[in-house]
Amino acid sequence: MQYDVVIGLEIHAELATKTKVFCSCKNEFGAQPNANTCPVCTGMPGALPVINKRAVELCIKAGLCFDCKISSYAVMERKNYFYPDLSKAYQISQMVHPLCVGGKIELSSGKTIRLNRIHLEEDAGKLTHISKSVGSLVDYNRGGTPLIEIVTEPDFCSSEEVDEFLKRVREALVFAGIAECKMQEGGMRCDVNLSLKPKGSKTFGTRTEMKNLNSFKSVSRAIEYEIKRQTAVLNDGDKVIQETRKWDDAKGKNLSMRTKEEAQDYRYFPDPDILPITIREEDIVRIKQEMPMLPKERRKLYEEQYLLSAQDSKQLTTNKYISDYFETCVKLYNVPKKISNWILTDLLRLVKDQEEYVFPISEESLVEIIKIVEDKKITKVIGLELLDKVITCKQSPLKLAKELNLLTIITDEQIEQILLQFKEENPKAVEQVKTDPKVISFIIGYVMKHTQGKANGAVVKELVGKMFVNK
Amino acid sequence: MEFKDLKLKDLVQGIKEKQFTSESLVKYCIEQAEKYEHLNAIIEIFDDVLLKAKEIDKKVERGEKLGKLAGIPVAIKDNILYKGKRAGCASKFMQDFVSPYNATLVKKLLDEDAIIFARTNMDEFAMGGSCENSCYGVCKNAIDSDCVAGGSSGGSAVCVSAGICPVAIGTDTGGSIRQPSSFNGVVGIKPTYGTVSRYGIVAFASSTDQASPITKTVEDNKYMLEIIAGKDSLDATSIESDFGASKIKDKYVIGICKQLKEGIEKLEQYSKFKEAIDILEKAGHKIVEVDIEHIKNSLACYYIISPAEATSNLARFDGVKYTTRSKDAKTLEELYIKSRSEGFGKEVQRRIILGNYVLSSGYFDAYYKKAKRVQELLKKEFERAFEKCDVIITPTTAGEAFEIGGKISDPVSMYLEDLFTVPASLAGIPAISVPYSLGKKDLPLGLQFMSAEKTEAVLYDLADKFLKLTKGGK
Amino acid sequence: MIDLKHLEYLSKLKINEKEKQRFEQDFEKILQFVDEITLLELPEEEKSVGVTLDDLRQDEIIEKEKCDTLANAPEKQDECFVVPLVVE
Repeated sequence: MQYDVVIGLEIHAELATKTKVFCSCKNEFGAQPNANTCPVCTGMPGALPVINKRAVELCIKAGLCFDCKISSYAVMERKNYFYPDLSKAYQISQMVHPLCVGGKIELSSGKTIRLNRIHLEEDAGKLTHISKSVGSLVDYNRGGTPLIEIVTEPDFCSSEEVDEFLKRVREALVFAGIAECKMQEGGMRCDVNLSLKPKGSKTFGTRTEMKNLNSFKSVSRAIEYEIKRQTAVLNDGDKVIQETRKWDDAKGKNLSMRTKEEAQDYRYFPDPDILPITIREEDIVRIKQEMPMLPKERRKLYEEQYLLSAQDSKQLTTNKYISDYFETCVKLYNVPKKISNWILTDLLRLVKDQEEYVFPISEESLVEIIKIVEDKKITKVIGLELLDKVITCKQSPLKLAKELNLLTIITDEQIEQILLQFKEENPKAVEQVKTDPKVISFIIGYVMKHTQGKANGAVVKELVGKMFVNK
Repeated sequence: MEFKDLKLKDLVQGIKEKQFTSESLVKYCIEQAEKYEHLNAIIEIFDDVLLKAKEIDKKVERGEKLGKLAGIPVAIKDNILYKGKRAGCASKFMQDFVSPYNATLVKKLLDEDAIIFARTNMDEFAMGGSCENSCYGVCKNAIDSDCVAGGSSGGSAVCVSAGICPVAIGTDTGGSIRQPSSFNGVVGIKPTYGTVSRYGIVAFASSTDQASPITKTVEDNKYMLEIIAGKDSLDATSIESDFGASKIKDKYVIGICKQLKEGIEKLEQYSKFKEAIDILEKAGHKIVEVDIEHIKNSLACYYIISPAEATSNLARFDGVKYTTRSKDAKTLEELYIKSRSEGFGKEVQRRIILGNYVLSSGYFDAYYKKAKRVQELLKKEFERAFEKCDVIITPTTAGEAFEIGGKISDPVSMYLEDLFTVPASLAGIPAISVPYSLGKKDLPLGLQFMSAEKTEAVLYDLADKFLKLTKGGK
Repeated sequence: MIDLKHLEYLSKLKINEKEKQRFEQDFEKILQFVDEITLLELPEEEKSVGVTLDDLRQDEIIEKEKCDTLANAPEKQDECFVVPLVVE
């Protein structure tokens, strides 16, 4: 039998705040166990949560990225359940009044994936399972890290759609400075709800859930596996059981997690320690103003206004750093095409750490070098030499160029003199250049040799034309 | 030196002016504590109190700047965290708990050079109205040791009443300061919700919990509240308040709630209550009747909301991080269930289960949601009532302190103890209990005044006026 | 009749077998006592006023007084709390 695949996602992303969501402990990855903890995030008696303004703003920002409706009234609620990684035995989350409602993301196919909501909540601590005799170790450093949960409608029907969607979400969150989404650190995790239904049927089948998938690849593999598994179950005439299944990336398969004897009942209710939040129109306007342009909009701008190729625009928006760098340069010196070339061919090769994108030269200095080249004070070749020098010496390009005597001091008259000298030495070549333009590079080489490469090739070309060709 | 009748302000003055030392005062309090040990009001006198007192005395000698409570012993309820000292909510579950940080109010006391003297007995996790639910045993009434101290802040009220300590801090969630204050003939206030930071006070029902002082006099009470009050960056529900000093008047309009009238008339103490009203009226205050429709539902409302919040607040006591852990737990589930079942007392377990009942799927809308709605309406009705009057008056309790064991086996009759105190808790408004008369057994009766949000000054003023008219209810 | 087993599960409590009957009796009485709330007919809910974004905590790391969060741990190892092995 043929089946339609129905997939919905819940995506968790850790917000890029300095402090945790309900206490002023450092929000950082990789500290010593329980080093970043306090009475609040370890759930000590008497400790109270105080909500982080930035976390609320970043959640609203996420809503603005994906066309959500921003609520005018939001409530933090307690989700009650016992688990050792949850210090208070309740997670502060949102249920009835989330910060962002609805929303959508359009895929490249034109299909729209609807969002149900985006809400703010806190992360749990980390458990390390040692052994039966020792037990499990609990570290609350991650406890209280602000998270957004993006909940989609069950609108996906393939792993490819999910993959594109997740990449788009990450791109936007990173670009807008909402989350770093470092997947290997668990900064972005995905829960997949998946069910099958007979092709064309309107009623949904029984779904399973796979939690905490933390790489795009494992999401795709887990989905493919689960589709096959459920298909086999249904084809055998069996029923899919509603359950949580744990994906084992190493083995490439998922396993049923012991179904609980009792149904979960989280007993959500508004957290009396945290007052409801009123979001005013002016707050939304202010947060909107803080929003950087997203990659999609940027690519449009680059192509339509800066007249860059689609390929270059895409490359310039691979991450926010490059894109911001590029835009700053263009603001300083409005030659987008030239700047794009410098960045994509000459700067990118200098970036060693692909994770931590930083160019070794400031926007101001790069623009200064480009300006010197464009003003024909030096050649591009010398310009690249200057770039290397600026990077090693950390000095201003113009100053350095003067110090190193790189600036073109060759006047047109001087070039004319050299060309006359050339004519005397190579009368044949001068004749040939009139019919064979290839000879020009030979002439330019001659001039360069006699000027230590400081002559401007374009100028030489122009003068050759004037003196030898169009005489 | 006889300290017993000295008022807090006189004690502060005395130490500052070197009439006596803090050490002598603390020694006196220790002697008193020994003398009244049988009342079981104090769980533990902190081991460093004499040392701390000597430090203050040195400060006095050196002429250094002194805080508003320099050298004054202050007792705190066992649910308030004082760094490095035990705090256990009178629960077996928290017997070994040493506070890893200071409650904001403790910090404020220490900043004013107070000597934090002892932790006082209470009903376990502040759940109870008699101070019989304590792992340290029953706390007895200061005036009649056959009777209950009242609760849950029984130990604090007894401490002040017996003269063990000039001032004690209690907490009030549905009447836990006012009722024992009434039973022991002392002054206790529950200020506007949020006036005193809850940070570092073990939560019972977060939306009505308030800490505040129990004292011998109204003046001392005001002095103390002003010290421990204030907006706290660690408690989002805390507020800044000037206590409504500008609303103090010569003559007040005093409201009697129409919906409570019949009930009050049936009380044994009615004639005394009537007398008190007459005294106030004769003194020129105006008595009016006000409507507070949902006040009659407040007890039921309170016994839904408070267990719901408590259930969630007490879930963190799970045997993992700080409470005692059951020794024979092999799995995680066993660890939770055994630790909690062995650790929590009967009444606490009852309320946890009740809280889960009203929050659980299928019951949430009918109970919790509706109770919250009643609470909102009650708040509004009080607001409207305070457009007509400055203060609403009721007895604090239905009667005088009852005999130990009298109600402990009947939870509902114990819950009814909170009848007059719960409305102000739910509405978040201030309410004070002052001694006004004696009951049949010659035990004290308290009179409760309630006023609008952030107008504690009005309560203190009227209470003071009233006590002057009646010479302290004696 | 209440589903005590479920409530015990949610509460992570086990009521002593000997006390169970008494417990259930008392519990029924308490429910009768609070049940009046369920019968009330109440006017429409109004949204309560909340705080604004300006009232919330700034995202700044504050140097706090050190607090040894593991000090009361019944069992600890390598700066972590220890629980019986959690089977996932």
